[in-house]
Formats: sequence, C-alpha cells, structure tokens
Amino acid sequence: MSKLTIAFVALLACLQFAVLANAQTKLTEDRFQELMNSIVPAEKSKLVDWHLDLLSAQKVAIEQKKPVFIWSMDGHPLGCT
Amino acid sequence: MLTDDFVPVAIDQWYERRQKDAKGDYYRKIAGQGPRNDFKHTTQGHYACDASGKLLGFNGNHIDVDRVKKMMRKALDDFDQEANADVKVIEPGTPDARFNIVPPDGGLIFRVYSKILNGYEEPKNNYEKSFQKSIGQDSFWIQADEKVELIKSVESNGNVPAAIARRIARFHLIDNTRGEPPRWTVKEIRELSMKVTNGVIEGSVKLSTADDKRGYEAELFGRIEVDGDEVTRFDMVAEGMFWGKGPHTGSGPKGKFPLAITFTIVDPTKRQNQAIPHGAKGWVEGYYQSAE
Repeated sequence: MSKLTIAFVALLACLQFAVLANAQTKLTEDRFQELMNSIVPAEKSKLVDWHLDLLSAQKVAIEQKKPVFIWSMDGHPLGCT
Repeated sequence: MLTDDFVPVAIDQWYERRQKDAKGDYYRKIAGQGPRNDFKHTTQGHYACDASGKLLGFNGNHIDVDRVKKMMRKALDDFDQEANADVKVIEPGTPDARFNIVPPDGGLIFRVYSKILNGYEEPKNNYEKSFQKSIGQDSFWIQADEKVELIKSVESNGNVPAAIARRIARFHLIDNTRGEPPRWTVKEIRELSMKVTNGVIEGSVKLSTADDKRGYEAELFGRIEVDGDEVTRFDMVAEGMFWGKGPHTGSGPKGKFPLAITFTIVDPTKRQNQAIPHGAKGWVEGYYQSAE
C-alpha cells in the first residue's frame, strides 16, 4: 500500500470520526426525550408539599397544631438552586 | 418527620428580611432570635418555630441531614402545643408591593431544571458528591399577552417572540446547579435563534462575557402544542458546553463542561409551581422587559 493510499485511508477515518462525533452532540428528538426523562423530576418524587408563603404556613400551623419548619435561603430553595 | 410533624415552608429570605409588612415582621421576629439577626445580611438557614413566632431551633445552611434532624427532634420536644392554642392567625394586611411578586395572571408558568452532565473530578467527600449530582431548578414566566404572541408564532411557523427568547437566554440558560448564578446581559447574547416549525422548536444560542471567561453555547430542541387560546405543551431542552463561574457558583468542573437545561409547563394553581423566577429577584419589570 502506497503512502498516498495510507494517508487517504487515514483521512477518511478522521472524517468518519468527525461526522460521528458531530452526530453524537446533535440535539435530536431522541436526545431531547432522553434529557427530559432524566432531568425533570418525576411528580411522585416531589414528596414535600412546601408552602411558599410564611403566613399561610402560620395559619396551617395553628389549624394542625404543629410547629413550622422554615427552609430559608439566599435564592429561593425551589427557584434558584 | 418534616411532612408529618411540621408545616414546611420554603422562602428566599432576601424578600422577607426586607419587606415592611406583617409577613416581614413575623419572619424578623423568628430570625431575630437566632444567630443571624442582622437583617442587613443574609439570615439563611433552617428554622423551627411555633405559630407565635417563638424560635424552637436553628441550623446554619447545612446539608448534613443528621444535624438537621437533630435540630428538628429537639424542636418537637420543646414545642408546647397548649401554649399555642390561643395564637391568632396573622392577617397579611397590605403587602409590601416591592416584595410581593405574583405569577402572571393568564400567562404560562414553567419549571426549569439544569444539570451538569459530566466533567467533574472524583469527589473528595459526600459534600462534593452531593453538589456534583445536584439539579438546579427555577421558574420561568410568560405573561398573558406574550402567550398570545407565542401562539401566533406556532400557528404561522415563525420565530419564538423575541422577548420570550431573550428572557430564556438571559435568565434561564445559566448554571444554577451550585448557588445563585450571574445572569446574562443583552450584550452577552452573541447569537440567538428559536424557531417553530410544525410544533417543533429548534434553535441555538451563544452567550459569553466580554472577556470570554464565562459562556454557554447550546442547541435548543422542543415540542410545543396549542389548543385554541391555550398552550397545552411546551417542553424544551438546551444542551451544550458551559464554561466559567460566578461569585456564588464556584467548584464547578474545570474548563468547558456539558450542561443541559429543561423547560416544561406546569400547573399554575399548585403552590410549589409559584416560586418567583430567580431572574425576577428585586425587579420583575426588568425580568419581563428582558431587553434592557
């Protein structure tokens, strides 16, 4: 096999690799579904029904005779991080 | 324990420690009994209190579950149910308008989730491990008149309205997996396209700071469905390479790393879905304008 043929085959291999690599990063319908399924939390996993309003929590605490637990952050715990 | 024995409430204390109304007064009464009682600075942490506002326990912003549980158990032991029998419901009165931001009437509410897909080094401890697996979350709001324009763009196979596309880019294509992230300015939007064709959203975005120390280049893909005057589905994903950090988002992977961000419409009547977008913090008008 001549040096020219080897170089040509190597070039083809590189091009094929580049095409494959590009195909892997392309955002397709399948990839979109895969990411939606893996990142968006399932409804059943949202176990804690957090109040977002401190005074509504105070009212419920009186009704249910329970103490209040406050998760207080810089940035909303459900809307930032 | 959290849901059975307590009434759980999640807040961004940036609002409550400032607002001049009954809600702010109640919060400051509680937090003022703890160690973070200078309301010019953060008061973040986990608090347990009774309905009267008596502090029953405090824990700095720990992710150590055992320490939080210990604080909660002690709070339950100290909780005097009888003493709370005569406590009155606090009426909200006139809310401090600057800090009472509500979801757009007749608009659309989304939940936004973000995740770094790989690129981290091996974690040194459970603290790092939990950060590396974290999923950022936020809300994204579209106003009623913008929803009308969005529906028109779907029906005409056109571009997603510029105000919506810019809001997505500036405030939601961010790495919020480890803390409060910086937003993008209008000038930092280098390229942005978002088009609807037969219900498929496709686009791309290039965002970067002037010094190129922070950026995000991503493709967008999604599905949108309309029924009359309503948007019945709007699911979208951004996937691409992010680089850089903000003042509160250190400890990310080195160099460029893959970041995916999802958008999905949610039921606006559920209270968990009503959290204020991070980008609207302190200035919801600026969030809506998006072009400033």
